[in-house]
Amino acid sequence: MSKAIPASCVNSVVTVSDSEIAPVTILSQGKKASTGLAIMDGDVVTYVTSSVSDIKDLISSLEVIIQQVVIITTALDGVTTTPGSAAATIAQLTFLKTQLGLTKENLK
Amino acid sequence: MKIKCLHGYFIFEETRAGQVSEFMSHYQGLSLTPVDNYFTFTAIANAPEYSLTGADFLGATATKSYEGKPWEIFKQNGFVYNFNTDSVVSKLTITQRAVLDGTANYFISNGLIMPGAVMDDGSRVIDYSAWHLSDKKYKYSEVTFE
Repeated sequence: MSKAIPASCVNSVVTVSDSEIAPVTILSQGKKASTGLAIMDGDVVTYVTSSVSDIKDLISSLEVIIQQVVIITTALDGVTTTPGSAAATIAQLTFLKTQLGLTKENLK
Repeated sequence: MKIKCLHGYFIFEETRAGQVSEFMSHYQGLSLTPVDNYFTFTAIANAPEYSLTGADFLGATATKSYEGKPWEIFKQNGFVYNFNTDSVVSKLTITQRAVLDGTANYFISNGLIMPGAVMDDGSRVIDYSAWHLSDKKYKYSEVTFE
């Protein structure tokens, strides 16, 4: 019968109630500070972190990238010989950014 | 009442009503508490089913991170329950001597054997099965050492 205990991890060091656990198998990269569960089964300990914060960070980065693309496209559209031709593309990018924001807020 | 000492953890099983209270009447200050389908000393009744290296475990410092039944945690960490001090301690701190009669399949002795008790050859009592007969008399069998 295994037991799951709240744990945290930073730089591949897993701690439970201020006690460092070693050896431990970390299923994620374990570099950035995280919280998760230490699953103990006999002397085998496995650390599982919640990936929600990683996914949120990734989506935030995508939002920034798309916003930059929107800005660049808008600027290019302003100097083209046919201004306004990129309006639909810009609208699509803006919509995509909005959708990413909604996805981030509604992560399972 | 049947008594099992598993790696310094105690399990008491009544075979008739009243045996637990009779046992406790001989050990002032100690009490037994029901756990699942057996009784054990109250001080170890709420033993966590895991230990963490360097962390407190019933007043003792665990030397190993381990998940399992209390007696498995006792084994992994070298703990025993010292019923004289009502505390969980390293078995290496037990200095009581144990003199056992190994000439028969069982023997009767006064007093409960302290887990971790030292034999003449330096080995320590780790497990045993016993029956509480009356007063402080016990019938012992299956005593193991390490």
